[in-house]
Amino acid sequence: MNFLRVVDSIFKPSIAFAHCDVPCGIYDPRPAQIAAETVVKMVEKIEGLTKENPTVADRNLFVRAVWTKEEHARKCKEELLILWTDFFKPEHLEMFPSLHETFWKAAKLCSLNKQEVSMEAALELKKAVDEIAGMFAKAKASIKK
Amino acid sequence: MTIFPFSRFVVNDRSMVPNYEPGDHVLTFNWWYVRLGDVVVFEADNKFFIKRVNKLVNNLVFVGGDNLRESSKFAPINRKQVVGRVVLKY
Repeated sequence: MNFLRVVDSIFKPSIAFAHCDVPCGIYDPRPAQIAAETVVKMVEKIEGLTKENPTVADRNLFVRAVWTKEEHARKCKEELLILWTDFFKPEHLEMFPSLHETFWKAAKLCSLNKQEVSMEAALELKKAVDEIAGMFAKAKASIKK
Repeated sequence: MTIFPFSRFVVNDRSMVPNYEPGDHVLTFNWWYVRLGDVVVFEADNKFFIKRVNKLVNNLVFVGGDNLRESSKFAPINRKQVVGRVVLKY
């Protein structure tokens, strides 16, 4: 190990950031989008299950799908909160006057999808998250200019 | 895949505490496939990052920090972004 340290003193190693999202400023809406798509898939699975005389396997799948829906709706809300509070700045309100309302509605849809099994609500959540992803892309593009 | 089989890095910041503290030196082995649970160094936005592999879905690698107290959210990365997996801390 000392040998490697000697090598490092001559040839400096690169820095590997074990960063947290706030300091390094690297954000991405994809985790929120993946979570929202998972909610849609789970609602699809739940609605596709046999309602009359479900088997043990059906019940097992039902429980797992509900749990996964719950977990991903929660994850979606968490990811949206990070984008809302950490990435978007006050100057972005000029570009997106309805920014706060869009995020608030999306967060509400996350909760609604936990409470209900509704394809309509799941698709609305996906649409809301995709809208936020669009805002993110435009905001990021404006930073690079 | 990187040309060199090994690479050296110094850890900066705290999202891998307690397993990797700021200032730890790590050696990666770059000529191997990524596995679940591996600690990897990857490249993003012209910087190197060190995280643990939490999930693998096709070519997407989901990574996260070991430090549960500090938020360490990171979008899934492509396998091609992985430089190597950490094999030694020194």
